[in-house]
Amino acid sequence: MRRRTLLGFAVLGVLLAAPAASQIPKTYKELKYPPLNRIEVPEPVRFQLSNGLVVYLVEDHELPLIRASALIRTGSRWEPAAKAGLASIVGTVMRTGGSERFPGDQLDEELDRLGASVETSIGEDSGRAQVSVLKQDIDRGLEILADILRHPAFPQDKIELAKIQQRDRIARRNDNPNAIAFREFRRIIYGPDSPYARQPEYDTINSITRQDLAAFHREFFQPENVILAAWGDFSAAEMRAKIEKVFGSWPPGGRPKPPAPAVDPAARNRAGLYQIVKDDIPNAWVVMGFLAGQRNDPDFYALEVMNSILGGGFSSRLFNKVRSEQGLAYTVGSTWNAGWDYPGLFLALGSTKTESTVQILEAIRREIAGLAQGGAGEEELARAKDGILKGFAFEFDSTGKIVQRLVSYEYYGYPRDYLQRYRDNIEKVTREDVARVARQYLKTDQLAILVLGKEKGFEPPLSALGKVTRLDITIPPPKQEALAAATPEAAARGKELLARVREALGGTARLSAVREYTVASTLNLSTPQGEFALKMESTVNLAGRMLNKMTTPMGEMVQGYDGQTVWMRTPQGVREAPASQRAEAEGSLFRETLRLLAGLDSPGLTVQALGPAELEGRKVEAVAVRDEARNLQVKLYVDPATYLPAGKTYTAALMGAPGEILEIYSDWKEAGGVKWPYKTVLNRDGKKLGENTVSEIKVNPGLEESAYRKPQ
Amino acid sequence: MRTLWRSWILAAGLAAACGGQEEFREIQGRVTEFTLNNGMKFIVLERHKAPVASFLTYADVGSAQETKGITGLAHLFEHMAFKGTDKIGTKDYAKERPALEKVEQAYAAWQQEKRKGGKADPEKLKKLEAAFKQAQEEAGKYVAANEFGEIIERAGGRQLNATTGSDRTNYFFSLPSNELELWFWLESERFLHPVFREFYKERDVVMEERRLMESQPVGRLLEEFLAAAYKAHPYGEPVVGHMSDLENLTRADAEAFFRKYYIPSNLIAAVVGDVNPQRVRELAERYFGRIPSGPKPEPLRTLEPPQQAERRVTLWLQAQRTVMVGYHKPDINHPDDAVYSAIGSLLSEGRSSRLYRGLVRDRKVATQVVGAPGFPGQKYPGLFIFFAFTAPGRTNQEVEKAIEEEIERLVKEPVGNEELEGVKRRARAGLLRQLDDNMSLAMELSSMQALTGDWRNLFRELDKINAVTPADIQRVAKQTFTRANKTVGLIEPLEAAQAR
Repeated sequence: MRRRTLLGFAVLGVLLAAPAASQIPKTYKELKYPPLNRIEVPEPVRFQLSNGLVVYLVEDHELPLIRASALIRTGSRWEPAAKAGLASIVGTVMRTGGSERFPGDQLDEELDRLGASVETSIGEDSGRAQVSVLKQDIDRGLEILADILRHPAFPQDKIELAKIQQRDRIARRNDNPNAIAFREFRRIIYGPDSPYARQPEYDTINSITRQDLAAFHREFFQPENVILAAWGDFSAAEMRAKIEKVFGSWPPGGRPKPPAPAVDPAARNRAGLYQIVKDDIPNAWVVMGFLAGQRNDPDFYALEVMNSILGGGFSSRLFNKVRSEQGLAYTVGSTWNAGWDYPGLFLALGSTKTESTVQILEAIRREIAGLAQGGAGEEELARAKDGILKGFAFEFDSTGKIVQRLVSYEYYGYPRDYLQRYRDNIEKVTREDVARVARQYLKTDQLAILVLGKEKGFEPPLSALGKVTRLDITIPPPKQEALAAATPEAAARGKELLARVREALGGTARLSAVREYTVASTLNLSTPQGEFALKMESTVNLAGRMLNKMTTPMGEMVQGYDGQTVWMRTPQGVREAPASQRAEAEGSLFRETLRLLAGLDSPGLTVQALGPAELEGRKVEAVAVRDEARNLQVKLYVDPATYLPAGKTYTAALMGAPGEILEIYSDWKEAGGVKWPYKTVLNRDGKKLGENTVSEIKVNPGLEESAYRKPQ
Repeated sequence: MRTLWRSWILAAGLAAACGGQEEFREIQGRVTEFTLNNGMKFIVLERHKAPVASFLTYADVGSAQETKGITGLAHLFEHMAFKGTDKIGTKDYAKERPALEKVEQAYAAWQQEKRKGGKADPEKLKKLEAAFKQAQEEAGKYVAANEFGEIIERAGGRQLNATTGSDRTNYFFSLPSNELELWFWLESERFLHPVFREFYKERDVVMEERRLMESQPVGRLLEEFLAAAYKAHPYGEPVVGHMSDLENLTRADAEAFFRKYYIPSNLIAAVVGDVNPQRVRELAERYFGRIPSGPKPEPLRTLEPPQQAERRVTLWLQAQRTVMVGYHKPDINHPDDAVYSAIGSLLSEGRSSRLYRGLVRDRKVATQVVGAPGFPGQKYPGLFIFFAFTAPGRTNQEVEKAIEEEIERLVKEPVGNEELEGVKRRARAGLLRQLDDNMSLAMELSSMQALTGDWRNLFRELDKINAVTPADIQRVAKQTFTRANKTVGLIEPLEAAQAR
């Protein structure tokens, strides 16, 4: 039962008697509040199954709903570095693939029909499995939850689907500047290979197998690693029986709980100025900070208050000065992000127009320095503490919040009354404490400062502030297939085969007369939705230039590369492609047959015969040409009867996705004294991508050098 | 095993059809509503779970009320509503007031010279700009920075924020429930005696907000897409405003906007939580009763004419492929509104939804996809939009075609009963899940009141969805998803082509 505040009614009675307008105090400070109604905290029931699984239950009969949420001792920080992405894929495929008894596709249908959800995921330091159902469906929900946690099927097709999603995330990770800034700042502090900052790459995703998923699951999914909370419209006794029924028979795994991996001590020492250039945005992001601490550090409470004064909330120093007073930023603030079981990050950040890049950097740094030197005022301290303490009732406004908090405390080894201790400790924080921690922790000479934005367009340049470390955020393409070391025999045989290819195509004299060529063709792309035709005109200059014209349903597009810059002309105008595209253009030029044959003696290039092979049922000889330093490699298949190239395989990004490309040549005709394949079938990763049919080839068309350059 | 399970699902589905708004009687019984003499409407919902309450003021004005030249004003005004009053946010209003007038005069003089364009005297411009900055600095001396927000924070407030959309502007925060009167004091003063201090600095802040949007590929796509989809109605304009308008908005613009739209009959307040409705009414009359009533602003004249031909925009960016497709649809009060909701649910809700299954799971042409009605608003005829991230190695054309195929299925095949029962059951479960949060209840109740004239429609919507038939879905899909009614927006990446 709730107590209504009698006082409230009494006050009302008095007020009703008085004329209305005079009742309004001149200032809000004169308002008198009744005491707060009692905070009624439901006491969760905690018990442990004999297999070690811990359960928290809270009844809440407000709505006919039941929710359950399990926290599981697992996370990407424990996955092998070479398999980055594995934990996340396990978390996804547990649900999308389902179990033997509840295959994922059937679950999709059943849960959507019920208006229910069962979801699983694995993050950096924990795994989560959640059920949300109308109360009459709870038996089914728990049965499904237990079965997919215990017996995930990990079907191959759902692993492939999860990998597509992962590759998409990789491809898109440089699209949004704010995401780049946060991610790269983490990598600066923890180090790019740290379990707390590493990221999935094409190579790590490609290497993940079903066995890896099963092994990861075996390692972490044991009842001792699970804390399950359920709350909603049930009786605790009945719910206990239901949970015993589905989880009680799960045998203990007996493996010790993994400890949190340590943070590299070097993470404490990353001071410096870092820059990432992104040229297509009108603003810059500035992030600065350093390695912070944990929630169980004695100084945590004072630091929390200190941060609130510096950059937390609506009236912090950063908000008041940088945003409201100077109008420099919409986003500005700071966070003392203490970790539960490993050191988190302190960071202060803001985003501003390119012209004021350095201005905002200085403005934020000035506020940090100001707090370190001068400490905080009495009013500021009161604001920060009152904000936390007076709003304490909000910690109890939802049953889910109350019980999940207890689960987190137990998961990370914090006392059950941690919230009360937190409150008491915040209350004790004094001005002296804030001044001390600000002085001790906020050292501007120890800041790592990351600037993301245009390279120029602001004064002074970054270099005026100190030594600048440029960070490259180019997405690493997959490594080329590893080949056995070339024996002298294989190298000789390879060169011999390619010499014969040169003869078959027209002979050295005629080939070396070719300096440039234009190929006009129609590319028919095969898709499940039918074929798309693109008209193409590609010119290659053997000196290392390239110009492609394409007619698409969206209009004509031109892509050029002058050896320095990749650019595009679209109906929208001329644009420079990101610098990372240069490697793709170089790869494309590297693989051009005539250019490849002309440059076999270049330093750094290795040629190696790989022996007989089969290509679409035909017997061929394979030769690999490799430029190790540039991560470029192509395999040429030679027809042993004619010595014409039968095909070629290589790794390249086509439409945002790196893949294994196979070209198969036919319909050889002569143009300019040299033989050319007039038909090419393109496959990617074993599937047909399309067919390119040549209509005309011009040898030495004589383009001006300027034709390859970005038009002004 | 398999068949048993199937029939079991069917039984569950049929049971769902019975659950209409009836079962939401109890919560509706806890709602109290009243309208003040000046026309301001209040909706109060008691929820005594914890001693806290959420407060929201819904202003029935959004970017749709802007005209050419003042785009972004509704949103900039929202920022100004945090700048305080004659009592809040000032160290000495008697001195601040003339200082603020000087800022206005200095700004006007500078702008007047600036408008001469090429004929402007550069020396004079510099002087006038310096004078403006000087006046700003002078006025700044009297500012108590962000005091409005600070008071709320010091009171233990949470969720303090405001939002502006095409249809509405919302102001909200939550407080421990014993501080109920603080909300009345602050919120009534906010709309009774606002002072637009630091106007030109806040305008700079909003320009930064616009730049954040411009730096996001999807933000840029949305702006171009809406501009293509609308040629007459203001739904085609960006809420944040055009940069040139932002550069020229004045404090006088904001004051005129305030006088016209922030009248009591254009405001709805929602209070949800541990409160006594009698007391809320008392305080409402005392505090908000002071705001003088004014004439309700005239309704918008412009209607978007029927679209005559497909429209397309393609953005080439340093970003990955993205697809947006939109079709014009009627507003929220149209009898078919629930049919559109049902179509959205069929297409996008859950992993068995048609778009996820069709584009992500089976065809693998997209990695994320959604199709939903009501963008960018619901007050006026909006769009049913589809949004997809194209999967790596696939083309936007494939995604567009796959969306068309799903649409064709909607038009050609009647939806199965089982699938439709799922829609109905999810609508009920979804509504239930919204009911355990004070702030989201305050938002939903006030929105329904403003958009449909009755907050009860939040619950009546269920009955309407329950009445949707397979024939309704086919009919509405056929009317809506036509070639001439279609707008497409694409992001194509700037990337190096392979030689061939």
